[in-house]
Amino acid sequence: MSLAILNKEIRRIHVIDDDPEVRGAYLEHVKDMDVEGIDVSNSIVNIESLFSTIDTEHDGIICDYQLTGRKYSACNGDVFGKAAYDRHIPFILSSHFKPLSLGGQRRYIPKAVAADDFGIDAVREAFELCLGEYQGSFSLRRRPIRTLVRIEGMKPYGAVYQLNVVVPNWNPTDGVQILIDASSLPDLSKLQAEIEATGEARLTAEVNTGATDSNELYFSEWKSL
Amino acid sequence: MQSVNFKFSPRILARLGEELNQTFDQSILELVKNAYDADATLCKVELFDTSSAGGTIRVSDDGNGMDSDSIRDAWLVLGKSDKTSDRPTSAGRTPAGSKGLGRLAALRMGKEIRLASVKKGMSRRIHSLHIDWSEFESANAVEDVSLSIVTEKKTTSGHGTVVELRALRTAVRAEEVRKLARSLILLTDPFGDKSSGFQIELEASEFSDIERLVQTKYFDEADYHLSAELDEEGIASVRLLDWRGEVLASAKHAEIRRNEPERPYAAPTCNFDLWTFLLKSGNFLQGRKSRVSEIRQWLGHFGGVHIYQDRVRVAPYGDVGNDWLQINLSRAKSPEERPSTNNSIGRLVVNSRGPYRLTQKTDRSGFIEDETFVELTSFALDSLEWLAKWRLAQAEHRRSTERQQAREAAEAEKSSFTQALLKVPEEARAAIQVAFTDYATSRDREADALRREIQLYRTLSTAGITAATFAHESHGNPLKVITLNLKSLRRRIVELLRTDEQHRLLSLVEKISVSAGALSTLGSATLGLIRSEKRKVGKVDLHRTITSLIELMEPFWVARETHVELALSPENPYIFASDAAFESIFANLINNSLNAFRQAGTATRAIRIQTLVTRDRCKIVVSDSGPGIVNVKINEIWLPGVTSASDGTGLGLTIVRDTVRDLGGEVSAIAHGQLGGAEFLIDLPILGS
Repeated sequence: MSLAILNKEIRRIHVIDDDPEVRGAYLEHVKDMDVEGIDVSNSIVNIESLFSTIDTEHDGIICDYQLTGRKYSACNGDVFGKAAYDRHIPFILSSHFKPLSLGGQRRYIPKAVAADDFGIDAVREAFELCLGEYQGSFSLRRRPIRTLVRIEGMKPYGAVYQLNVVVPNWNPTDGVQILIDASSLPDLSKLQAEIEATGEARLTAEVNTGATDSNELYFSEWKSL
Repeated sequence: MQSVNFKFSPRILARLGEELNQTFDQSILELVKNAYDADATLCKVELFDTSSAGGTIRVSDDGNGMDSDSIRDAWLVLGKSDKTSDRPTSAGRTPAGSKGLGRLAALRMGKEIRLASVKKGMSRRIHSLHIDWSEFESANAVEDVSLSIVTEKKTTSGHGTVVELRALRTAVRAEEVRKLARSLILLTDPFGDKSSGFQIELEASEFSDIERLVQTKYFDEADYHLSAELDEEGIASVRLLDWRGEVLASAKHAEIRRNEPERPYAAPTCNFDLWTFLLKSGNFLQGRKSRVSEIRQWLGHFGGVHIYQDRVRVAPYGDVGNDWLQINLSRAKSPEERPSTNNSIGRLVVNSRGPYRLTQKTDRSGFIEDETFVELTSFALDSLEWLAKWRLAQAEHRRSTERQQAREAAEAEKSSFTQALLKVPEEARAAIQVAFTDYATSRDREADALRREIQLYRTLSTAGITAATFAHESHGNPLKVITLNLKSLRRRIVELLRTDEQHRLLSLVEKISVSAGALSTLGSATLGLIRSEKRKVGKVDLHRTITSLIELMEPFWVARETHVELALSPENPYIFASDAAFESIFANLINNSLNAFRQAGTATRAIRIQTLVTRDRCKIVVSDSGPGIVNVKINEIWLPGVTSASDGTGLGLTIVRDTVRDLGGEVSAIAHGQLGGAEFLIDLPILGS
């Protein structure tokens, strides 16, 4: 039993969620895909311990976003999404949080869905997008383009910043709010000073300007002008 | 074969000079830092006729000086620097100007440069150099312009260097001189008790005023002095001292680095001092009000947190308008007991020796923000956070003590009154006693009402906090299980059953799905009202906020079979407030109407929200088709605790009234409005439309 996606055969899908009932619900979907479902029931000690049990050639992952409510995992699903991307493992992130605010990790999570939109088709699409990107082929909605980003406000939350940004190349009139790790922003104090003095600042970043919804937008490789 | 060399166009001199150091004060500071690195004890900066173009700036020092070889092989070699921060000078100073290009920007300020230097130990010879930049502009390459170092005998003693920037290309503005004066004073740590051994003089009238401000040194009058230290192992410790230097509190690393108590800071050894002033008249000795204004002025010039690396100040940290630790932002988010750059002054003194180094950017716009810098910033922020928490705890304790003292004082005063009453003639005593008792009873009743209101606010807040905390468990996961399993169920019913059998089960699945959807919206609508960004004050588009709120509450009024009509004026009025304030008005009015429909069993349920905009005001009318305002006086509906429902809080209209007043508006009600039920009229001043 397997799921054929592009040139891969997915034989197992690991389900990661801190709630065993929710894992059970996902596993019912996996069963209907004729693929072996793996219930990741033990606490996840670290990234390596999780990925040591995953076959990079034939396994995929369904993962929830919020994982830290119980002592199941020390980090949330977006971190595992990045780790899966680095290892070229197909991955889909599912969460009831709307909009899906994933900080800087959205670049590495080709598909993230709210629980209402989860299903076999969503999993298949997610795995196809992942495998395509691993081979360097990006869909129009996911292709990174270096573009100007206008920052109209920033607010710190620990090591993460909430930015109010406008991407003129994507939508010149409406802004979006994103969470970005402080370490990925260049010249942080200069940026803050500029915003404080003038109300705005400009950087460039790689953005998927082909996204059709603000929830799909990702921002990476920030650079000063 | 032809032997060739790289050549540089003279344009590169202009480009390097202009693009590296952009500000006037930073340019001159580079020449002053050269004097510091030359172990000078005195450096003088003089401005001659600089209020218009063509003036002269002279920077002279009594440092080690240079001979002709040094001028040729070091001073004239741009981009090379003999100074590395690893090798201290003979006086033990860590070189401040290490880039080698620093002086170019200053030198380019004048059309001509004159350099004269006497090397220490060879004071009979003076070496001078004259540069006319116009010769470079007409040359093909920098190398084509010959410069001559002239060596002459000198009869007087002394050593050092003089650099004159002649025929300045532009005028120097007074504000630039002021900024230079400030930078020069702060350059070598005027905070310390010991002199750095390097004195700077600036001959310009703005200087003496600012110098006086620094020399006055109000540090001893600070209400709090935070003194934090980071040792070679990256372990932090902190003490809080009062104005006498007495230790009020102290903490070790684990209490400071709360998020990662086991991890040392990967930053250089440093000391962080912050002096905070409460700036209330009467807090100072003899209550002299003039001291507060003096200190405000001093803080206005020098407030903020400055960074010193090896005893030399690093710009722009602590510059006017530079709040690199976001002290002001933290205070805006949580104003109680937090410092701001207007009431505090501090310094972070960093040692550049050791495994962790901070590196300045080539353009002198601060440190490269690598991990070392981030760790240093974390140390400073964690220390400030510790201070804030300590002060908040003290404030709480103070409030609790004040409450207790107020109670005790009330009892004592009552007793005093009773004693005093005995001195009143007997015939008047009874009337006074009755009047006092009535007054005391009213005050007690008011206090009880306020206590109940506070308790209710606390209870409601707790309910909200609990809902938010457990949103994941209470509304997320169970709903997710239902939604996911319903999808599987739907799919399997279609796969496994005959078409004529499917409908019986699918119709049940659909009903469960609709209910799950309603539960989901209930949770997200509630959480949607308490998002922190909604409490941020800014421009609020009234129509957009009303429309968004109606959309957010749609599940509620749809579930109550209510029709909501919006009759909004064509303008777009806006005010300066928070979304939360505005939402609290309309959420409570709509809740009021929905509850009225429920209690009265109203058959036709309608709510209408209408706006009318005039030049600087917006009238908003909220009317419903309920039973109206009955069995209660119109002017009493705003009082806390007044409710027609046994399960009501009696706070909704109080919140509406208080919020409208906070926004500068007025609210009134009529018992039966245009739809037959209660009608509320809100009149708000607006900023524009």
